[in-house]
Amino acid sequence: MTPPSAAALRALGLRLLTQLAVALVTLLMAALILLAIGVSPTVAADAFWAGTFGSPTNAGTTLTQAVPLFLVALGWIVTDKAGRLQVGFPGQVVIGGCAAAAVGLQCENVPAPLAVMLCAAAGMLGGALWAGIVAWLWASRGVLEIVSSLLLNLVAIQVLAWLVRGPLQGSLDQQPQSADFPESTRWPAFPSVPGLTLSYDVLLMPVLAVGLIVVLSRTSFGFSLRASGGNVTAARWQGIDPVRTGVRAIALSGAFAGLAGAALLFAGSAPWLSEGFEAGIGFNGIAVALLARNSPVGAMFTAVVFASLNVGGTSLQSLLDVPSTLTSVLQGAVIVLVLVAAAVAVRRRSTTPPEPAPAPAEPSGRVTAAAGQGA
Amino acid sequence: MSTTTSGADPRAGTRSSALRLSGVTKRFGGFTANDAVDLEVGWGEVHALLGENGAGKTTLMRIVTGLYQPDEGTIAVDGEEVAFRRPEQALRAGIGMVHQHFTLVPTLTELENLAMGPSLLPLRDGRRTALERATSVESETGLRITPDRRVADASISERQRLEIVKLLCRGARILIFDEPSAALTPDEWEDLARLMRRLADDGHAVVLISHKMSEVFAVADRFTVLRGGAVAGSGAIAETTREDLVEQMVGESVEIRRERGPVQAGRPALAVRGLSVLRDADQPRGPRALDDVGLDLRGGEILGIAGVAGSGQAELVETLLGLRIPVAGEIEVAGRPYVDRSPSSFYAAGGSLVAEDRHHVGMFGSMTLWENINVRALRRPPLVRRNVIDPAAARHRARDLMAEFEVRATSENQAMGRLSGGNQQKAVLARELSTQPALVVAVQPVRGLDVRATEFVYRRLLDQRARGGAVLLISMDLDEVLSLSDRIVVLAHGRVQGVLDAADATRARIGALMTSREAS
Amino acid sequence: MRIKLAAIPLAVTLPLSLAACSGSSADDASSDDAIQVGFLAPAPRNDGGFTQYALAGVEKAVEAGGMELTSIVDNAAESQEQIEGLQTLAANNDIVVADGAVLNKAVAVVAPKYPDTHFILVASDLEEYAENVSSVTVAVGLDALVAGAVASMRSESKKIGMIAGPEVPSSTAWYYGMKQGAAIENPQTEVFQAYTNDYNDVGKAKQAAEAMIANGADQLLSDLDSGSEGIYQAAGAAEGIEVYNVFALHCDENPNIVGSGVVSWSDVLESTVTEAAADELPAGAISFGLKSGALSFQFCEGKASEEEIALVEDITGRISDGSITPEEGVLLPRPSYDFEQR
Repeated sequence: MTPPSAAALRALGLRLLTQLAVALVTLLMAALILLAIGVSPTVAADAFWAGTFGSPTNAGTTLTQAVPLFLVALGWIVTDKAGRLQVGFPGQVVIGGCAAAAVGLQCENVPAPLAVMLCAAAGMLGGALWAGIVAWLWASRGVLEIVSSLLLNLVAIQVLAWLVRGPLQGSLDQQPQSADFPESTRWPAFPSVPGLTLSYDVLLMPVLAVGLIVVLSRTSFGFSLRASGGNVTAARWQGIDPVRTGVRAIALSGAFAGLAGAALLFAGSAPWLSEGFEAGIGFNGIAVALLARNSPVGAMFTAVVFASLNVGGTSLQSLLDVPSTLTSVLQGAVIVLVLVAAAVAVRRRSTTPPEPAPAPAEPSGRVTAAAGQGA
Repeated sequence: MSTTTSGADPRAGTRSSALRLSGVTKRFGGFTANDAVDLEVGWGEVHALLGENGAGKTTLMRIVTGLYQPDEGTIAVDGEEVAFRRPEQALRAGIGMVHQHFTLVPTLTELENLAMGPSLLPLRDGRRTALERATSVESETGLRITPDRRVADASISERQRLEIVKLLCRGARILIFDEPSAALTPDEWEDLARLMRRLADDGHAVVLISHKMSEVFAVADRFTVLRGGAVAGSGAIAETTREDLVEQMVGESVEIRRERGPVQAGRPALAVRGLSVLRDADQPRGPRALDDVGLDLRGGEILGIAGVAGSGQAELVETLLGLRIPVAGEIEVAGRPYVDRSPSSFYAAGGSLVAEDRHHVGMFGSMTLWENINVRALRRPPLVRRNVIDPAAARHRARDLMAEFEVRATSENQAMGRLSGGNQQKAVLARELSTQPALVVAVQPVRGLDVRATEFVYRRLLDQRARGGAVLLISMDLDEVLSLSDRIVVLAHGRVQGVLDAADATRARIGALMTSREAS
Repeated sequence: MRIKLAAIPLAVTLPLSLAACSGSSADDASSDDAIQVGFLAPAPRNDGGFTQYALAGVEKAVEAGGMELTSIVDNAAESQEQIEGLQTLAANNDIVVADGAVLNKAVAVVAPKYPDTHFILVASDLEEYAENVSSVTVAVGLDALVAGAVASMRSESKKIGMIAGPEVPSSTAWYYGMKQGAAIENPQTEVFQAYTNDYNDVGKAKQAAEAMIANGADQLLSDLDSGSEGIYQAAGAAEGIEVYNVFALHCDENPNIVGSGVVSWSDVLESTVTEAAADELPAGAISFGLKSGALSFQFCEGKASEEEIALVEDITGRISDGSITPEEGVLLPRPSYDFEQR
């Protein structure tokens, strides 16, 4: 491989700069909002740090919470590379979680490693099947995947509401919650972190990031997927079946989201199924991927950023009595700013000359990005 | 060249000018689409605008209807100079265009479609006014609509009629028909021709864009021929002949036939028998894009297919790839029946394709050069084993092919979209010819390429022939077909009009067959 | 590609090293002398109902007892968030009020980790006893008993009804209570029940009420939130229908309202927080009934006859002194551990 050229480095630098600017503007907005409600930003920063990374326990919580966000981001990246616009992650997380919970609750007497694997597999299967409905509607009926996936989110939430009140309901006074999952099904945590808050599933982040990059760049499935996403007509004319590829991509994406659902339930400190367990990660995961410019490795960092926003927000509330709505405002601001940054980047790209003009050597930074790994 | 100036025409003087273009020039970057075009259309006249594909007809009409602004030159409507910035302004000045693809909303009724449109009060229900106007149009022209029928339930010719009524309701007096017969049966065309005549007789001005001689001679009073963006001739239909017009359209040029060995006809590469394909798969009784077409092509031979665009070439390619289902016909590739048609089985049977629309169907601009060159090689051993790609081997293969096919790029990792058009086409050739195919289908293989790249492509196609492979060369460029082919099939209106041996083919003979009257 | 692969180890090591470097800034409990109280709720703090009243009670106790209410975490709808919130509150406060039935599991997870903090779980019981958790519930069924007797006395048709959201024990308790109370006043009185599955669905509530009125019921008790409006509408459309609310008096909402089985969460929280501050609140489950004064049946002004007021006093007294024993379903299922009925 050729060493990165000056142009590639400049592109990378520009990209990092944009992301830094997004972070700065967000911080500025946060400071302004805090000042407006009469809380000193420095004190708030202390509380935020204490709640997110200030202690091993809290850092563990933050990292563990980043995992589901990251998994959803991978799901988004897969469908994005395949050129499909699938936004059914909330539903797939919910159904994946329900499937994992249904299996987990039956795993009382199953030995721990097997039980953990079973729950994870059930989650992935649940998410993949739920996404499979979207894929089937698209492939056989031509229903736009964005529409069907959005609508299925609503259905999934109702399914969950029914499950926690009906078949899976298991709390003493009939609250909409399941019984606690058996000990053997819970995902183990690093014993060195006090409070056992750092689940081993954080290891999934680097493993799956590398795995996805390898699958996309080194397998014929990944190649077909990128080809279909790059130019669906050309793919068809070259003998690649874009429908088949799209269906597989959507199902894989659903499997990632379903695994996220299982991780939410079995890796956290709340080992039971409750109505709101999805907690918005289905859509936040998309923002995580967008902020990382659809790079699996970048998504590891942005997922941690989003998780710390979540955890830090709770900590700001409980330490400084900052209203809970502030964190939501902040997260919304980040998403909007990401979109603005993305729009700026797109405009810059379109002002540089497009293809057929005899474009002289414009080396590689871009090539790899286009080849599907992002940066 | 039999060019008559409009002033010399006795009939022109009697009519006042409806539309006059003088010196209209339009450039796109370095490409001049219209070069100082003069055009004059009088009231009460049907004016045919002729020219090959790419001659600049569409650009010119887009200027007239306000979609483009000319770089130079003036437009006058009814003697007054106008400058349109938006299509609505042209419509307000009375210029309306009947597009090949209608601008109707299929889910609404015909009346609702008429009622749609710019109005001062957006919430007003325009249906009553629309009905009144439609009635008055009917009384003037005899054009009747079915107000409560959904457009989706109307046939193509009924939709076209509605489109015309719509323009008339909006006050259009200069009507431009863009290849209106493309989707019509012969009977429907007769009706339309009568209508155009009637509109002209009522004092409207009608512009007919066409390349079908039979239509032009049936309805037009006067004509203007465009070639290469400039006016190649104009005059009265009554004073010209079919051969004259064809010559003005295709021009004269030196015929360079390439040196090549005699045909050593090898094994059969492609056989097509009785192939019929619908123009629109949803209209089983509609016109056919290909009608009973037969082809025979053997190894070591280049078979050229000549014809104006839209004669069925695209449908032929799509049928070969299995992307269109024919209503009848048999195909054999490399001597074996080719029944289960799909892109992958076409390639597996020994076919390969240099597609016309490279950007759309032939390459992946955002992917690397080595991935593009290896698109199909990356789907089977040795580059892929157990679904795992061997990138080093793939890059190596790409580098070898880049050297062989003179693809200039910084490295095999460069994005395909970043290459120049010529290098992209060379990369496509590398992909398509590297598999030693029995049959290469090449569609307009040098479109948009410079001289050197063109020469390279031609040489490679001749190499394929020399190797004993077959080439099906589909082109709208007569020179290209003439210089490369061993035999030439002339396609017009989806039918084979004739098969010529390259040795005794001339532009004139081909041109005459290309524009011959369709069997009806 | 190479840059990106190089970033992966970095991505792994960075968070892990962050996790390893320990800094304990938030783990010390208060150094102040004042007793510190934290409050967490799944609903908004100004929900105009349950959460708001409970918070008001906590604030009263804090003010009177010289305590400090350090933080309020509200809108904690998701389990993980609830657990984190409770943990941070527990690390920094002496008393933590978990104000909502859905918090029972979260409290069960967090409480063992913070043995020095006293948790007050509101409206639900733990599945298992914990030494530092007091769960407080209210025996709404006792209120319902009184309401049932009153409704039976006022009913002309001797048919009364109850409409609730989901069919859960805390709702069915109103039905069983009314049934027993009505039977005490008049054994012939029939009691209907209906569940709309949604505390806030006006349309469904209206349908349910209309169906009951069509069956002859003329006294309707609404165990709903904004869904009550549907019952008011149905009552307004018919003749002589009277409505009863629960939890609080809403006499100005509709002229047909007779009274309410009032539950004063404010009183409950005020007394429990005060007791907890004085270290007198026992661990285990505590159920507040009519005796405590936190529950009472109250009439809207000018609605009650002498006879009815006497009836309310009589039944309340007889429940408090034990001469009326609640039948099955009137009280919520008791936990297996320490339980106190007030």
